[in-house]
Amino acid sequence: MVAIFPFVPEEITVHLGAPNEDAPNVRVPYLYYLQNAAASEIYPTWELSAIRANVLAINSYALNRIYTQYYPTRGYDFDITNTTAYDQAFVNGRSTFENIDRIAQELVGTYIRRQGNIEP
Amino acid sequence: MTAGTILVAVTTSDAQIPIEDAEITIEQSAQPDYRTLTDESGLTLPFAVAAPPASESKNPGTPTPYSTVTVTVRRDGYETERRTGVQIFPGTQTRQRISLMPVLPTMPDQIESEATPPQNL
Repeated sequence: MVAIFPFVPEEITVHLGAPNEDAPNVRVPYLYYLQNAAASEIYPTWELSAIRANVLAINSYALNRIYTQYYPTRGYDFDITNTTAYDQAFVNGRSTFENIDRIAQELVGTYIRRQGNIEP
Repeated sequence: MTAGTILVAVTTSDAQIPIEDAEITIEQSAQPDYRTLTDESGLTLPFAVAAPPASESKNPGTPTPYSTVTVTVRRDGYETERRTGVQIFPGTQTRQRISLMPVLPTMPDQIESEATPPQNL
């Protein structure tokens, strides 16, 4: 069996609502998604280590959705939603923060996995 | 008084091409409007905005630890865009990226507005 390695996509399609809600999808660069989700879920004034931990968690979560093709395998035409009830926050068009942007750029290729698994 | 800064980056065509000479207006309550133009990279200089002290964002349950501004971007030939509720934190630079859509000269200029919801963590 060929092992499929997790990868960081160029872009990600975000559904701007709950999965069954009639809402638009937007396709954005993956790094922007990470910077936006981090800006929406944490404050940039927090400690560096807290920001890094959150960015890793957000990245791992999103990469899992991509790797497992969670929504497409259930018949949806997007990769992730923008609501914390189902996934994580993403506010389309919002501003981001320079320090979080920098950390996201550094950590976009890093994810957390369980021992013995390769899946994010 | 603690302050943060905001930098606006204006592009078009799905964020591929920077727009020069776009007119940026930054409005805050109780302050005069700040107007500037973007340079050839589509960027403004960072602009300082007063913000609550950083200690207010460290614990849950404190009042809103950021100040908000409204950013409006105008350029001939493109649809005007406005972002409200843009958050400014102390000691941090906020980057507001805005992508403009070209419009035909005959179309009336509507303002596309997006609001950032309040974020109380």
